[in-house]
Amino acid sequence: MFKIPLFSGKSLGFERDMVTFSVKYGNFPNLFCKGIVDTGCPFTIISESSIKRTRIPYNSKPSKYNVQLGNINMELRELGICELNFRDEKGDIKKFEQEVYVGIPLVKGYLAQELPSFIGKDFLNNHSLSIINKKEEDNYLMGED
Amino acid sequence: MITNTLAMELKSFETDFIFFQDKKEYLRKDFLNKFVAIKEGEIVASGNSIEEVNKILEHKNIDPAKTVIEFVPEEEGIMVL
Repeated sequence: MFKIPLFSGKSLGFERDMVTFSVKYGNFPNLFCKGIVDTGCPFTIISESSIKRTRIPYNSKPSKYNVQLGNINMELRELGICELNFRDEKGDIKKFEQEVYVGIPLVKGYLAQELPSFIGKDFLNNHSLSIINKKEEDNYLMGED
Repeated sequence: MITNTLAMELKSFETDFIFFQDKKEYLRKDFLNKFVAIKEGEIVASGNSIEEVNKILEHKNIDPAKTVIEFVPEEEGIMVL
């Protein structure tokens, strides 16, 4: 059994369970991200503002879905299978393979700049991870080796 | 104690994001509607776009892909997800 610590972060106006992780896409160097752990989101999405910190050619990737986040239209481009790396409670790294999308807002404006990344239900299901809520310590993702 | 290098770097990235959150009100004074880059608790770059900040960071030999770069908005967007 292992635990991946979450932290409480403010995103889009509210405190949410968030996690830091790295994304390894092909031969590109690791991209560090923080994302909301969201069981209501079917996809694992890296925000455009996150991926712009790299040279990953996301604009040439196929568009898979048009979705809405709040009242913001967003295009999901298929980045493909990436390696996601998380820090566990012992300070080791847990690696997972996961289909990742890039979320590109179709509107301009300050809200579009703030759209977060998401660890979605697809990731939790694929790797049999559960969110454990604790009263007096940080929440975490629990999984089995 | 964290001994894995990647794990240490991820922890540092998380700490920098939490620093950004805690200082957002203060950052609005000097960096309103700009992007700021934070590394080890310090503002290391700012600019009008992520691309602009990336160039500054690369000039300083700081990897943007491992650096917190966030937008400082006038007001907080609110969304129920």
